[in-house]
Amino acid sequence: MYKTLYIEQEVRDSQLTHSITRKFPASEIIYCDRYTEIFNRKSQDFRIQKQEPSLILAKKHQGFVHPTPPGYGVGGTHNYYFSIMLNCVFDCRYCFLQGMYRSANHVLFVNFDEFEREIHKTALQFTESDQVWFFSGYDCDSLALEPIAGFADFFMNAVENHKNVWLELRTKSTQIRSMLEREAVDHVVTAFSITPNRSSKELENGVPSISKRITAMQKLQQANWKIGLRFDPLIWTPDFKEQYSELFKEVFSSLDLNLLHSVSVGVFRLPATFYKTLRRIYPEDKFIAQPFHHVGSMISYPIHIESSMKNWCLDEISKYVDQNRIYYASFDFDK
Amino acid sequence: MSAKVNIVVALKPEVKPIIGHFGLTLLSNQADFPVYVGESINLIQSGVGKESSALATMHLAHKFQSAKFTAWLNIGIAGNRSLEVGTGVQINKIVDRETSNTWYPSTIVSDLWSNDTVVCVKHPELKYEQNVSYDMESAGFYKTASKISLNELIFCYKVISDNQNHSVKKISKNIVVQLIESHIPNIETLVNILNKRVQSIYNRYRSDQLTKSFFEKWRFSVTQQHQLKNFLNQCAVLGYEITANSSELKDCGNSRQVLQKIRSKLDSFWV
Repeated sequence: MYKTLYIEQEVRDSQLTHSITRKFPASEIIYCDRYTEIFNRKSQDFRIQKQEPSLILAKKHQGFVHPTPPGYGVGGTHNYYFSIMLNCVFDCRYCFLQGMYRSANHVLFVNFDEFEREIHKTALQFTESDQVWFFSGYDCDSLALEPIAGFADFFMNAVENHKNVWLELRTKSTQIRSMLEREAVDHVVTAFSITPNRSSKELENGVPSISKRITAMQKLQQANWKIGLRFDPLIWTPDFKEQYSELFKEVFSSLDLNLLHSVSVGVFRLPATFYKTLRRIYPEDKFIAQPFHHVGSMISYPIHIESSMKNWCLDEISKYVDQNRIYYASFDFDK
Repeated sequence: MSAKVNIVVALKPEVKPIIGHFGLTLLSNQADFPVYVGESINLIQSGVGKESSALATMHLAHKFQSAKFTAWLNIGIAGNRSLEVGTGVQINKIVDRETSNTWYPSTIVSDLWSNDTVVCVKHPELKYEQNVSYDMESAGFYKTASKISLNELIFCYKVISDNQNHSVKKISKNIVVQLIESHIPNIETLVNILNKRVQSIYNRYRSDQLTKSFFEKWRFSVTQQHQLKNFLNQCAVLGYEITANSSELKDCGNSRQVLQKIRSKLDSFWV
């Protein structure tokens, strides 16, 4: 999968580094001092890199856990996110990561133990009755690299003994084998991002089909894992009601709704600066060429479309799931 | 648009087989840097050392007003402790021994060549202390080219000319010619890949041509020029036909009105 691996000298002897390099015996290994030498350099072409990204194994030094922006969450009293990886193996045209990073290469921070320590430290600030949520999948897909990195497996062990810690693994992937091989962890929610079939085919390159993701969700539910559904971003098309109606019917009729932890909805939105970058990278793309409107520092659909999509979808979802499990993601990236 | 690859080569015997194969002709010989041109290539002979290489790279960039999307290729011989003489190596890491500065050129994955780190040295390496390649130009070339162009368009390709068993002192002009000559197919492959990359990047900027007739008819500020370029590109992608002579723009007295008209046309997308 990866033809080139960049490895920071500081992590060249880490156990995870060895385990990953063993999985890519034919890959070229290049040692570097800091991942930023490759990842943050100027004058990179994101689009060319995205065709064959390299994997960079690095050490995270600070900023392991961050509070989520206001409006991001599924009912927890305290919400944090953490990113063991920068960039995603999938190629979704609406994704903000394309506008956020200069490089399309994947950075994996291999010092999981230090993330774990920070999660513990953060959780200890609160009482046992609090729900302290840790969201993974903000800057990457939580499960897509599971067979290579074993991230989910590691962090499920980490949160298992904390009564007040909840972990959300946000994903579009179907890499659930490691989860099925163990007992379900009560405070872990695997949250699948979903868009209608047609939008998925047009905009989500490399992402497993909806039916494959539904099968993965069913398997997880059968093994007592909690599932979340994330209709985020909502993608507008002139026939969006038909598209989403069909999707909701397909998804909700396939799952055990009693074992559904939460459903959240969020309309497509991007910081205007990221959007500007996207336009430069994919000027011929029909999704990106849409005449989005500015809302403060963000771009999104015109307000009447945004409201009508949001309200209609929330109404439709409430036909399947009770209101107290439905959330609207209204956060701004830059807050 | 026909993209050209800018090639920087140090020595005349390295230049010779490339000129011959690609049919390059001498264009100029200013500042002691002979410049050759052909259909798909501009080539400059830099002379030995990183300083000369940096100067020659800059000279070539100025001569052809090289844009951000120009491809650059450094070709030459290199030493290596263990690689066989005649091995082709694509460079994925450059270390300037003098300054310890390091660069990481992107690479094109291929079975045709190996990949290696190159240490750029001031004098020919005789001890081969590390198991890497050694050259004398890559740092100057890369440092300069990376300020001009995109990382994904800059490559270094070296042919191993000496190792522990074949001393650098044994290298003759004829040997260098033969070494480079034997790698012409790989050089041609690299040039073709780079040309395709450049072409694909240029295709992203087609809206530059769309704006020309508007600029002739109305006066746009710099900000408005960017806005117009974006709007026209959006129109083209979404299938809305609009030109400077479109009937809906005939009453527009100034650039602001033009932009308003196009924006409202685009907004009809949501209806």
